[in-house]
Amino acid sequence: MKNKSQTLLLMALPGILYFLIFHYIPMIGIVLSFKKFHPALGILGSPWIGMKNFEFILRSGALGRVTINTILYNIIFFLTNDVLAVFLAIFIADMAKRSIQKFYQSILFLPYFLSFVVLGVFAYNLMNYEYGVINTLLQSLGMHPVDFYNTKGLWYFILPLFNIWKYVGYSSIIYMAAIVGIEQEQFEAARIDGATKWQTVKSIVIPAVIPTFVVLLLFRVGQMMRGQFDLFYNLVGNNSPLYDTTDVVDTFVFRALVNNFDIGIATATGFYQSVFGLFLVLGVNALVRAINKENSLF
Amino acid sequence: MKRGAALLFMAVLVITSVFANGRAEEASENEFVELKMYLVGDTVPDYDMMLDELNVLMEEDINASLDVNFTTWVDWQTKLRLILSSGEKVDLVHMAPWGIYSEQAQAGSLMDIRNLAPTYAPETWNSYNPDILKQTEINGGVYMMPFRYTEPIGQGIVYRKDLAKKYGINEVNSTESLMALLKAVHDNEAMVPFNAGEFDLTVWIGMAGMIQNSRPQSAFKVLLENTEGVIAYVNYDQPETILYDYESAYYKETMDFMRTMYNEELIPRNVLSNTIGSREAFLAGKSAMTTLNPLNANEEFQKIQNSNPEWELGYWLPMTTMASHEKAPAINNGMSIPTASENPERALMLLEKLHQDQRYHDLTTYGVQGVHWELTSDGEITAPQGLDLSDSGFQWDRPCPWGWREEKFYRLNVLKSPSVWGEVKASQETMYDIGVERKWTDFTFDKSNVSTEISALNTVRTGVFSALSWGLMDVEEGYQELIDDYDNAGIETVKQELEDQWSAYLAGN
Repeated sequence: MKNKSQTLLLMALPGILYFLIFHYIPMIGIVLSFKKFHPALGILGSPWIGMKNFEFILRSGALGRVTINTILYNIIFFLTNDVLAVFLAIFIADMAKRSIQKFYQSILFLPYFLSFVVLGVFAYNLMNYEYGVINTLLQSLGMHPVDFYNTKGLWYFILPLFNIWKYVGYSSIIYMAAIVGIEQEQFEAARIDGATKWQTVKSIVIPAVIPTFVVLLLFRVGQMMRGQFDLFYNLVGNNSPLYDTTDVVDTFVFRALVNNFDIGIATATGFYQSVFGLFLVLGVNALVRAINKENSLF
Repeated sequence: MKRGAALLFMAVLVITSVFANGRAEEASENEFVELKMYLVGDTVPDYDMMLDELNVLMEEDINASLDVNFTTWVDWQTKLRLILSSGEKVDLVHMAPWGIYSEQAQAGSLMDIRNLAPTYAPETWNSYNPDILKQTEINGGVYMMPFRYTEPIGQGIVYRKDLAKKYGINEVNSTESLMALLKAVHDNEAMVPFNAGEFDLTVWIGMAGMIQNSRPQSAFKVLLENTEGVIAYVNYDQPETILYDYESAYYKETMDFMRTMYNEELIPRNVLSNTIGSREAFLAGKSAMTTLNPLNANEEFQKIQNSNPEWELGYWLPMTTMASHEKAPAINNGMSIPTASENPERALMLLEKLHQDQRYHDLTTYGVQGVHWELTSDGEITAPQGLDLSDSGFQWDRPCPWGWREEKFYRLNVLKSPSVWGEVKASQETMYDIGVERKWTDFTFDKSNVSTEISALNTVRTGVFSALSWGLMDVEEGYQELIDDYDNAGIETVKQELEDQWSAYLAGN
């Protein structure tokens, strides 16, 4: 027995080390959000300045906007991406030929490997006003070009679209795994009872993927205060007219650090993000536990 | 990617500050040391070849060797800040007032060299007149060994004179003629007239202000600025009144001007997302103008003479029509020693050699003699037989030797060389004529009491301010939004602090 737990501990070691080095030790840095950082004095030696760094978050007037955007986009992303992924998984799992299944899976999975930096350039070439592919096409059809980079509302659609394009293949594989795990006897029984395709999906497949869906939802909530920095930064960048609808906490923290290089202020903003995120996870988990204890994380 | 780097940096910062236990023993003077230097911008392919030769000299002269790192131009200021605030053991770093010199000196990451320099770099130290040293002073300390050279000054517009003439415009020298050129190009040519993006975002807003009719007409001193341009300044003849960019008449003119540019499609609609700047677009024939300082303008002129000899180019330096203008700072480039350095003495000894030994100057500025450059019989610098300078392994003056440039050794003086572009030369002669000595050079605004407000202001500047200044917003609505945002950010507090410090400074002088 002792040997077994030793092996298991050994296997867990890299993970533990990773969290220790990259997540726990850096937490000491949180003290910086209450300090005026001075390189010569170091983290512990810098003077305390109370809550002054947090004042910036309030003064900038962006707190409400970025918090709402972050949560909103996470909800939109989860709903569009994961609901679509479930249906995709059902479709693909239902395809008769294995080779065709593999083909569709690969095609959908491919964008996952593309960097968002590439995607940003890609998006600019598609959507810019003068030479963009979409606008050139519209003009050749005799229609007016669309100024994508100056129309706030459109980005509630553009960002989820790119997000789906990149991640739906990846997510569908997770749901595929859940569907493949369903015992074949259940499908046979349904067939014998004369169930239609839709009835099979509704009564067998969907209940089987719900636990996966909920676990992924909880993971997502844990990161709800983390906007997808790569996606937002590379697609929007410094384009301030779009900030109202595209600024999320991560891009805000990043700009706070890069524009001012005030480490205290950036840390304070990051700290706010973490605390808010923690309460969100606890809240949603409590909600899930109240509805169905089995599905909650803890 | 950037965020990953920032996270990694935080991790390193925490680990080093938790486990580090003070400065290690200093190397004694006779021991061999390896110096580490950071320079800004890009390196050249043959830099290591040059460094090998330099290290031979250095080992003999000061028993040290040199390791050089370049920041590249991408996010160079952020990279320097990370290097300096992480406490990396760097011995020399390029610093400039147009970079982050005063900010880093105030932050305490640079060493005050007043005690060491007279001992370890005596000749260079004594060569600075008190005026120059006064310009380097931040809160009474000297944190930089400046170069000894007067740089060309200003930011101008390079434009396609052949196109201008084609549409009946002889010369671009006013907002009207500029607008006329851009409109004609828009109507007749297949290019975005001013195809701005990336780099333009940091220079054009200020530039656009300086071409308006109501811009300052004589010398002024900038008191507060950020990446997007000047925020507060005073006129030389009326220093008691602090003026603010956003309240000035020329800013209102700028907004209207840029709104017209935007509406008439003379700039890309998506300028803020464009990752290609007008300089690249101009070289590729996809923009009718770009903005360049005199040195870069001359550089591109030489290139275009080879690549597109049929283009005629014009250069408009709007400051030349001012009644007077501040001379270029005498300390526009220099080298600093970070507080984390373990060998400040040896670093100063190297600076002394770089400033006082022509061999060091020539190597670091032009590369290896015989490979990258030659001297003609009358002592002029020239390319060795059969070498094309534009793709040689060591482009002269490119890999940041600016921090220790000495006028007495420098072989590429823009105003002296016969091959330099006439328009640049003429503009610099005018700038020289209207130049007045810099005043109040040792004033630096101490931001520590208002750092929160300044940070909030910077956020407004990258937000509404840049959108409004590029003409992306309706002028009236946008301006009201700007004022509201500035108020929320606490601009009144900043103004009050600046006015207090400035009047105290004036009273003490």
